[in-house]
Amino acid sequence: MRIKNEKFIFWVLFLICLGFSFVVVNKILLPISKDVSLIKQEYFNKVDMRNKLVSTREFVYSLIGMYNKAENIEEVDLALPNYPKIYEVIVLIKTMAKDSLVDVYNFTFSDYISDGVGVVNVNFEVEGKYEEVKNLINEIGTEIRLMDIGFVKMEKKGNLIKGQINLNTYFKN
Amino acid sequence: MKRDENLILRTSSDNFIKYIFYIAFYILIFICLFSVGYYLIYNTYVKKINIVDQEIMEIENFVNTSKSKRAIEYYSKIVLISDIFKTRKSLTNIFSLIEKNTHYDVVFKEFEIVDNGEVYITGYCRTEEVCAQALLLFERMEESEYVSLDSIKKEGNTNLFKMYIKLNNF
Repeated sequence: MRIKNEKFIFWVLFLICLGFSFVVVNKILLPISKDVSLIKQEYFNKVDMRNKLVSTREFVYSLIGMYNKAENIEEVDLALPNYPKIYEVIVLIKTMAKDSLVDVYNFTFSDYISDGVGVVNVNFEVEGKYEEVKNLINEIGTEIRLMDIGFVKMEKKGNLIKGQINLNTYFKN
Repeated sequence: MKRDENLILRTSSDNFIKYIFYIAFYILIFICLFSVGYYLIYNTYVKKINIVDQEIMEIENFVNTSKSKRAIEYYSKIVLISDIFKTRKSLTNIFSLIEKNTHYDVVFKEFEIVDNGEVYITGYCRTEEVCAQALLLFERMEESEYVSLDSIKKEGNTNLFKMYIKLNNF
């Protein structure tokens, strides 16, 4: 009788162990193993991101070094301002025209964004002697504010040249 | 003797259920240990992620300082300027090129230069032969890709011509 009871108890314990194992596997082991693989992936992604940021930080360090050492860094702003600064374009063209002894008038402006760069398209008319107009065009090409001539049209009117100049100047969008 | 056989049979049956129980018990222990192991690994990764997050935050804070922002802004401007310079075309060279290769007996009335290297000329030449010589001079230029004479019209003692030149490397 005692042996029969012992046998029964072992059977019950066996079944309890089996049931408990089943519960632990389904409710704890499988979900946590899934979580571990997910968190592992997240960790590696973050490590990748950190490594990229570390190289970015190194790059920014070197940029700051260059920035601190650079002379006339403000000329970058003059070459490529943060907004169109059309007033500056008018003053520059008028000054160059005055220096080149030509007359400039009838300005038209339009601005747009092209490949991430802001472009101001300027059209104006010019009147003067050929050499002087040519001089103005040369001056425009060497101006610190970036200006590229799109087209030049010249017409002979007596001793003078009457022309139309189209140029693009830029700003950081 | 018969009694002993029964005893042996009973004992082996009892042992069998004991073994099965022990196996189930060890499996349970093994599963529990595995779960604890996984839990510890999970916690380790959580701590590691916190450390990496903190490092990322520090780097982001550094990159977002005003000095860094200013340096980055200047760098991006310099990159843009170099991009603009790459596509920049100088029209001033065209003037000297056309001047150098213009026939001495030709006078320009209208002159148009486009930044893709196209030049439109309207001018006067004394005779058609002079026009032909002027055309030949432009054709012989190393820089010319295509030259065409669109028209020659008689205007009093002179001839009005229209010419088109396409320069290469533009």
